[in-house]
Amino acid sequence: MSGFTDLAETIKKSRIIFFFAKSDTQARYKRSILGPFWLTLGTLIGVLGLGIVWSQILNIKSEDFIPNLTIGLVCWQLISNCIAESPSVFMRYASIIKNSPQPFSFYPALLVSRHIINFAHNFLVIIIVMIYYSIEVNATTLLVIPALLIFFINLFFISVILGFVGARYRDLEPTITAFLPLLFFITPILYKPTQIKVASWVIDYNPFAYYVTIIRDLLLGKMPEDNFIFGFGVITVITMALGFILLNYKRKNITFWL
Amino acid sequence: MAFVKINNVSLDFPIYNTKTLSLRHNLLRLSTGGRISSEAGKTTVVRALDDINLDIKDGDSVGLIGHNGSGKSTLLRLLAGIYSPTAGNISKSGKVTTVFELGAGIDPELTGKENILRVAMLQGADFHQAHNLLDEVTDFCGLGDFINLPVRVYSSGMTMRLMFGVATSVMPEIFLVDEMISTGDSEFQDKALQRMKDISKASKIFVLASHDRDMINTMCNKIIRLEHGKIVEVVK
Repeated sequence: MSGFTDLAETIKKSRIIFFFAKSDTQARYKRSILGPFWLTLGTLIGVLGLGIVWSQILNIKSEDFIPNLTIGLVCWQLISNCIAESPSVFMRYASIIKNSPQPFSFYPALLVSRHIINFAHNFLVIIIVMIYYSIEVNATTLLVIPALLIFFINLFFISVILGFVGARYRDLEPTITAFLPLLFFITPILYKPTQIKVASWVIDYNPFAYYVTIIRDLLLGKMPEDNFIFGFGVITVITMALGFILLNYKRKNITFWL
Repeated sequence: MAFVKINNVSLDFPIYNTKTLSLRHNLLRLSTGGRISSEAGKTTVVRALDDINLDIKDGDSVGLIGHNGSGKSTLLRLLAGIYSPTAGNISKSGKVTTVFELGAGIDPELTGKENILRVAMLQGADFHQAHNLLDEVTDFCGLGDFINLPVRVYSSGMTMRLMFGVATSVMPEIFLVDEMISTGDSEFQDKALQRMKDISKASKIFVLASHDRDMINTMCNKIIRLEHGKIVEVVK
């Protein structure tokens, strides 16, 4: 089996992957009344708290700051959850891998799908905020749908990469956990990329900055700047190529690394 | 037609210690120019299977016997395609279903029915097939109202019933079983035995690893004895 057939098998199983992602989410919230809507509520509280405090500290109007913050934060939760869990994705599903083999890209796809379901719940907060501040949408806003799709594909390949490296080198997971808070601050969530006066390279070389900026700009009905669109494309190609190489050449090793 | 052909297959398990699994040590190895590489880079290797030749065809019911650690489970996993051989080659055709460890793919918080769907899909059924199997498996498991309760309240025998029921209902061509049938009570063991006989009669491949010689003798038409990862005896 090559990396290509592995991916093809996973695509064929997309319905099953969605079923598993859904039932994993259901299992997690089995005996709770609000279920996954706890996420929505949590994000709403976070956005309100951070929004009110930071808009005063930074002295920005809240109607300008809060929509920006909300979109940034919801995207960040998806990114951070995916990259925090990806290094252990194959260990988490070790019992399945050792008992009824699936294509190896199945597991990262499952992980990302689970977080996309959570993202969909959080997306409600974005809608609430956009309606509350009556943000005008236009034709550009619709472009967010393909952009999100590419964003999800990126996350899937990032998850594949981190999954392979994390299965071999067990230090990766704590490393990522340690750097996540820092990553949060060098990703334009509390601010816009244009507000950084010094050290803009921090954003230039941070792939997550591109994801957040593209999604945010499009949702707010603004066309992202050309260099962001270009960067988004380059990052997509790199993650896909790297993920595919690992899937193709290292897939046989996974069971021995578990 | 289902078949498995194994030619001169050996399987080595690399045993990684904390040093080889750690990124820091590998980086350190680079930066110290190999000075400590002798201790850091070494991985112990365990040879689990040694030069195995095996030819299994339609209608074969193979029993694997041998001591603990003789390579029975590893050979089963090799047949399932979970492990790739380190040396030699393996060719096979046919849909594989496995009953190895208890509880793989099962989420204890979900009900028996929800878990039947999950396990069926992992065993190769697609979304619709899995839903069509539901009634038949529920019936076969004989768990009564427990089927609507979360699996965490099940005993190990009950979980086994569920897994075995699913694994046998997805109509495997190559059916691989490791020990576990012994977990069920005698009534279920009879039922399971009958079911396995039905499957092996449908001229497909069946491989069972067990310490129970009686079961092997009634179920299998070919017995393979493994010792230290080698095939030492084949009885037809």
